[in-house]
Amino acid sequence: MFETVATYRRQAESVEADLMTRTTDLATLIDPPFRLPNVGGSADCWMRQKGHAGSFTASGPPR
Amino acid sequence: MMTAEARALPFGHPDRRYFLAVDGRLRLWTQTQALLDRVLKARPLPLLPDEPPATSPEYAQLLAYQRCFDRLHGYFSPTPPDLYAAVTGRHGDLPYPFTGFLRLMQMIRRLALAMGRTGQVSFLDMGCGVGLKLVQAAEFFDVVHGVEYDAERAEVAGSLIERSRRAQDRATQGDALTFDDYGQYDVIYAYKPLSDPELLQAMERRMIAQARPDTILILPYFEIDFRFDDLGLTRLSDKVFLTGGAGRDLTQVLQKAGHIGTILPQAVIGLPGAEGFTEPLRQALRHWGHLA
Repeated sequence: MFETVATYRRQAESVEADLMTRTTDLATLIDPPFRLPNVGGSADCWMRQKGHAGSFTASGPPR
Repeated sequence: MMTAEARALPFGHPDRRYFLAVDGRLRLWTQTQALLDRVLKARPLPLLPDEPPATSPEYAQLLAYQRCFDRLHGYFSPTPPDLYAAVTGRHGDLPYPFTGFLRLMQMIRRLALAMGRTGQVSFLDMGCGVGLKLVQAAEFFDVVHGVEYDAERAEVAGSLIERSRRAQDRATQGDALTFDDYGQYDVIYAYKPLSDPELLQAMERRMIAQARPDTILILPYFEIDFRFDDLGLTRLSDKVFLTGGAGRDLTQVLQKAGHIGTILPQAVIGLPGAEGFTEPLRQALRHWGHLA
């Protein structure tokens, strides 16, 4: 069981590191005036355009 | 995120604590994404948003707040506020409406951010009276200084500022016509410090000659409308001007300010690092006035 937990933790830490990259990118997005090239004003679309496929929400890890 | 395996761990186990913290950060991430979407989709906010309707509870609250500050002003004043003080050419202690002043401060903060002021923003109140505007301005700016000609009022202001426990702030006795440090400030506010028209213009000339380019001047009296252009100022908003030359194109600054929020950043509550990977985005939202 502990081995499984350790695996989960490594995965989660990796995902958190990826999310840190995303939020750092997003932080530049709100530097006004906003630059949302052809994404219809959606932060999620913008992230996808930047190559961050999938989303990561409280319901589970990225798919 | 909290799997059955993680839940089975003993209380206090480092991995259990980690997964609990991750759960919290993921909830924060969802909230932050929702906030970001709202911010990106919001229409620009006017520099001076409309006041609440006169029949609204908010308006009544503002009025009560205004009266409360008026009473405080009377309480702190060593002598009753008077339009014309005993000293020729100088006004008595006339307070600009306190709620109107907050609206101005909110606007100036957004403008300062739009102009790229990222370091400490300093504010000078020339003719600060008993210093209540300094107390208000301290909510918006990193450094606030007040100068007051009347020694008794300057003493009250100095004492008030001292009690605010912000070591960088101060209020001192001084004369607008001999003051040498106008160039030290990002924002300068002067509400009727002088009643004599010629002395008032002498103060304006002195202030503008010393002030750095891109200093924001708040001069809320009607006389300035007739001469700001000749003084080399560009109008940012009603009674708010920018030094550095007349007739400058400020379209970009004003557009940018419209996308800056009004929320003042506050110290983050919780353990250091609790915001985890959401921190860069949340800090940016705070910086631009969209998150407390």
